[in-house]
Order: sequence, then C-alpha cells, then structure tokens
Amino acid sequence: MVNIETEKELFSPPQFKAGIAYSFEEKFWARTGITSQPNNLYFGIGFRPRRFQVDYAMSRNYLLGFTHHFSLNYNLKAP
Amino acid sequence: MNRRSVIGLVLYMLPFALFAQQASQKELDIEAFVEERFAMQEEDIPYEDLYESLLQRYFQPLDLQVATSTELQSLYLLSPLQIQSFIKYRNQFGKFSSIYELQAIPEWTLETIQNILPFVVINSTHPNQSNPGLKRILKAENAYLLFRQRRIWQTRKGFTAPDTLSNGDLSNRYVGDPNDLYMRFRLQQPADFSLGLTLDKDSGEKFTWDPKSKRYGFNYLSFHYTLYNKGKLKALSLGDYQLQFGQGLVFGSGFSVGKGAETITTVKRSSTGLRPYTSVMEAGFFRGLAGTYSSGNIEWTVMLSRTSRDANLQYIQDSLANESSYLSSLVLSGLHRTISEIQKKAQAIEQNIGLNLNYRHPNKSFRLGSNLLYTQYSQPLIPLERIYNQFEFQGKNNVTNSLYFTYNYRNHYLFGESAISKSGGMGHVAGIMSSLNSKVDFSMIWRKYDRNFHSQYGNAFSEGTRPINEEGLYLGIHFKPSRKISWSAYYDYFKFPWMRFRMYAPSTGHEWLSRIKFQPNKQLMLFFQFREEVKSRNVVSEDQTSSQYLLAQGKRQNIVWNLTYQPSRWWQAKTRVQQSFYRISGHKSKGYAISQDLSGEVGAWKLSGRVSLFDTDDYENRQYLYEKNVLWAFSIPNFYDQGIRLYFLAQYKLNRRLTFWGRWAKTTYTNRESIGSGLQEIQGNELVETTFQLRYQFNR
Repeated sequence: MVNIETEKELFSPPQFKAGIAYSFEEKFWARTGITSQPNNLYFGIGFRPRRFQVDYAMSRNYLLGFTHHFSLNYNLKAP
Repeated sequence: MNRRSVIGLVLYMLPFALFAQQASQKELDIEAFVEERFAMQEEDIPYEDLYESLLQRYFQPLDLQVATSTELQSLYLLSPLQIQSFIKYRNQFGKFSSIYELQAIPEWTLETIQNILPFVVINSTHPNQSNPGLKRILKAENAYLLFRQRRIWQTRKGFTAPDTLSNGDLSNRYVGDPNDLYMRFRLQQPADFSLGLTLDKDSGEKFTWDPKSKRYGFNYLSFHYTLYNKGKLKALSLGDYQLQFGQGLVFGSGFSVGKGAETITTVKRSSTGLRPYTSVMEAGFFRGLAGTYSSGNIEWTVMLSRTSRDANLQYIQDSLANESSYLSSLVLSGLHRTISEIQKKAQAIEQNIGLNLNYRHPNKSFRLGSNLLYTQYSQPLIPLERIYNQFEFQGKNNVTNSLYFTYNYRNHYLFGESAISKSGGMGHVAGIMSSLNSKVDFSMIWRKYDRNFHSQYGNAFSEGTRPINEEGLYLGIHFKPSRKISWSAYYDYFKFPWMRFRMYAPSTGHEWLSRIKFQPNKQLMLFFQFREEVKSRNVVSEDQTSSQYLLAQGKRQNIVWNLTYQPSRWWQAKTRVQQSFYRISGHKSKGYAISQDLSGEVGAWKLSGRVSLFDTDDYENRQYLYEKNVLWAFSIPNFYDQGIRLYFLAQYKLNRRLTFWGRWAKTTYTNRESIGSGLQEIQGNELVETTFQLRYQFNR
C-alpha cells in the first residue's frame, strides 16, 4: 500500500507526506514513511493475530531524535 | 503448454523486429545508457571510471546460462523480482536455446531485454580454446587499436611565451604542446583472457624520455594481462587492476553509482571481484599481481601492489642535519604540465597487500565474506593541519578490514558490511532492496562512517565523495503502474558529525528526487524530473562575523524536461530543458539551459549534432549537459554564464576493420572577455575543440 498526502496550514509551508506499508504472510506488516517540513522519518512494524492488532512505530524528528510509539487494538468484529 | 510453443507465441505477439539487425551482442550506446540511469549530473562522480567499468562489462559479457543472481544484480538493470523470475525460469526449463527466449520470462519486458542485451550473451563459446599459447592470443575476438587526438584551438595562457619576473626568473608555463593524445591496444577473448595497453598524454604535457623526473614518452602508461577460468584459478591479473567486494568499504573500485534517477538497483554494490584496469585516471587502482582461487563454496583473492604516487614532498631539517621527509598531500589530478607539477610526479611509493575471502552457502541465497587491506607509503602522510581534517588519515600505514554479507529471501535482498580501520574508526552499511510486488520496488540503505574511519580504496554509498564522517538513511521507490508510465523517487537524509571543507560546524541536510517517465509508444519518450537538495555551508566571508564562523542552509533545485522522438531507426530528435535555482541566506540565483539534438544514420555514416543555449546567474547554477562524443570517450561539460554551445559529430565506417570519428565543438560566451583562469585562461569569448579518432579492428 502506498500513500501520498499533503497538508497545508495557513502561515506555514505546505507539508508533504508519503508512506508505504507492506505485508508478509498476511499477519505481519512493515511500514515506512517520510514527511517534509519538518523532515521526519518513520518506521513501523505490525502484527495482526485474529482480532488483535499490535503496532510499534519509531519516528525520527530531525531535531529531537527518535520517539517510540506502541498501539494495541482489538476489533469487535472479526475482520 | 510446452516451451517451444511459448516462445513461438511470444515472438508472434511482438510484431516489431526488435532483434532484426543482429541477435548477437548489441553495440553499446553509452550516452543513452548513462543518461537514463544516472541523470543527475554531479562533478564528484568519477564518470571516467564508471564509463570504463561499463566498457569492461561490455567486453566481458555475462553468460546467461550460468549467471548467478549476484552477477545479474551487478548490471544494475534488473529488479529483484526480475532476477528471481529469471532464476526460477532457468531452473524450470534449463538452458536457454537463444536470446529470443528471454521474452518468455515472466516480468521481463522488451525494455528490460533491450537494456541488458549489450551486457549478456547466451553460451559464451571458446572457439580458440584449443589453440595453444601465442596463437590463441593472436586470434582474440576483440582485438583493436584505438588512437585519439583532441585539441583546443584557442591559446591558453600556459602556452604563451613566459614573462620575466622581477627576480629575473621566467614565469610558470606549460612545457608541452596543446595536443591531447590517447592510444589504446586491446586483445581480449571473453571468459578467457585480456591483454591491454593504454597510453595517454594530456594537453600541456611533453613527450620526453627523462628517467630523472620519471617521464617515459607518454606521460601515463597502463598495462594488464588477465587470465580467466583456468581450472580452479578463476582470475589471475598482472599489471593494473581493481577490486570490488562487499558494499565497497574496503575494496570499492569500479562501476558503482549511488543516488540517481535509478532509485532501486544502483544502491546495492555487488562483489564483482577482480577486474583489469584500463582507465586513464592516474590514481585509484592497484598495480602488481592478484589472483582469485576457488575451491568449492569458498573463493580466495590475494593481491599485491606496488605503485608510485604523485605527491607533495616536504623536507624537515632536524638538529642532527639528518634530512627526513614527509608527504603533505597526494596529488590525484595526474597532470604534469608545468615544472612544479613534474616535480610532484612519482614522489611516493605506495604498497598494498590485500586478502578477500568469500563464502557462498550451497543454496546460493546467502553469502559471507571478509576483506583485509594493508597500505603502506614510503614516507608518512601528514596533511596541513586544519580543524576539519584533524581526523583524516595520517601516518605511514593503514589497515582496513571488514565483514560483509548478502542474503536473498524471495524478492528481497538484504545486505551489509562493517569495517574497522587502524585508527579504530568504523564504517557500516546495511540495506534492503526488494520488489514488493510486480509494480512496486523499494530500497532502503543506512550508513554510518566515523569521522576517523579511513579507507584508501573505499567507495561505498555516501553523500560525500568518500566514506568518512557521515551518517544517513536513504529510501527509494520505483512504481510502474503500466507499461507506459513509471515513477521513481528517493529521499535521503544525511548528517555530518564533524566539520567538512566549507562547513565549519557539524551539519545535516537532505535530498530528494522524483522522476516521471511516460513512453506512450516506441517512438516517443518523455520524462520530467525534479530534485531538491538542502545542505549547509559556510556563509560568504562578507557575511561572517569576526568572532565565529556561521553556517547557512543552501537549497538547490533542479528541474529537467526531456522529450525524445525516434520516428524510425534512422533518425532521432531530442529536446531538453533544464532549470535550476539556488538559495542561500537570502540570496537567490537561477540557471537555465535548453538543447536540441538531432542524430541520424546514412549508409556507413552516423551523424549527430546539438545546439544549446545556457544562461545562468552564477557558478552554483552551472548546467551539466551530456554530450555525444567519439566512441568510448565521455563528456559531461558544465556551462555557466551566458552563451551558446554547438557540436557536430560524425562517424564513418570505411570497412569492417577501420572506423573514423571526427567531432567539432564550439562554445561562444556572450558576456565574457576571457575563459578560464590561471594558466588555463583564454583571451576572447570563444572556445573551439576538435577530436579525431580512428579504430582498427584485427581479426575481422
């Protein structure tokens, strides 16, 4: 899955975002993306056993360095 | 469906006669090849070297019957998926019956096949294998003598009569004449042997036999004799050679391109191993003996080299009046035109001992290897001290060793190399190159080179020219939704942890490129390319405060529009528009260039010409324009200021053995009274250059 989007806030330069997600064996996902203004990089992996969805992301801000994100989802309906 | 009928059907479905002229190896159109792949022209890429390596590929084509996936990758033309499907196809159907069969491989398009044709063969035959010794050498398939002469007709200052200085000495002038002469002799049989001699004299250099200044006739001489596939000895080379193993942290010579319009296949280096060196670049190669020995899944390469290097030699007088000397810098230009340049010639001796070990897992998907290189100079190298170079290499010797791997899982290639130099500085490269599906390819590469990582022959993926003082991450994508449209893009982020030349503070930057290519039919090809680079640099001295150095972010944008139209095999037209913008600390400048090409074929003649116009505000916006040149010569001149460039090229094939080339090029500046600076200066606003070349092919 490839995604490209742009976002504009008045009084600040437009921001462009691009991302890509790739699934292995249906259950595993690898993702990466970039944004412009500020120049950040993102990496993520995900795991989807049945109704659960576990994701981890690492984002790199050009000034602040790395931040880590976790998420856990539970789908009420089977996908 | 059986195999024959698949081929029959495919051939039937493709009505245009792609291979009608010849089914054997295709003549290589180097300009088109390079331009399409590496479209962003930069001065810091050694094009001369790259071009020579391509030629080597061309003369040493890959045999598709036995080619491994690593070898296929090293062509930089095939996506991981295409390689995978090629191997699968070959495993399933066995040997290829002819080159036409390539069309039956899933995921391979006609474009792919056209691209790789110059570099591959089906069944490399050895017709002369049975002939013994000298007779076999004389019967070589590729045997030619090439002679080239180039000259600029306006007089450069270096060729004028010298002035008398106030102390009575004469001012510095070139000792030789303005002709640039080049000669190359080659006897070569693919997969068997190669014997070559290259001679070169640059403009301003003198023909002279003077052992005192180490000048023997031609200013530069390169020789090699290489044998291939002699039993367990895979290659043995005497003379000049280059090595490429792993990701290029230790041995990284030859054909390697980093960032360019080809965003996927060029980021990974392939271990192509030992190859003869034939270029005229007078540094960056080994001279001596090297061999590759293969036993089972293990390959050994041992190398020995001893070569003289041009250097600035300094003497130190110590208290005991013992004279000792050191090298303040190595000179890489290879030019010996003035007395002072001649004095630097061959002042140092460099010796290298190296070892490579390469292990291949029996199922071919995993490779592991190790490199070791020991370099020693005859005198210690002590560069002039600056803050930015304080972590650079100093001393008499260096050791670099590394460990590398590649791993192939389906359509994904993982690769990496880690190296350490004598200083303790480390370098790492790791990446992935992958076909996500039949339409999307993706690549990612991370590198980190310490500020004190020293590698004399390294040439790994980097923003700077050498793998030192850098950390960065590159992401590339290639998307081909249909046969007509393709889009490729990359983004690269880099950081320099220490100061660099013209950057008096640690800094960061990034770069991205996007190219959309549209090819509605075989006759027409359009592309649009945009690239932006943001990089820090010192602000100009007027804006500096006295107490500190300030850095500013410079932003450079390049736009290229290109249209190529080829209505028939006999002629083609190409129009190109380039624009650039550069902005740093509030100053804005721009550049523009437009060019129109026309080329055609009439009987034994091949003709081409171009008119281009350029107008740039400054040197930052200089426009690089690829130009066609005589066969196997390469030119990407850059233009700045304002003016017109014209060139005309003709090739005439007298008979099967003898071919002539002539080229005339002229630049007229509309806002200058002199061109160049120093001894290169030319009075007037015109520059005319002519090139003449002939090639004689034996055994034809």
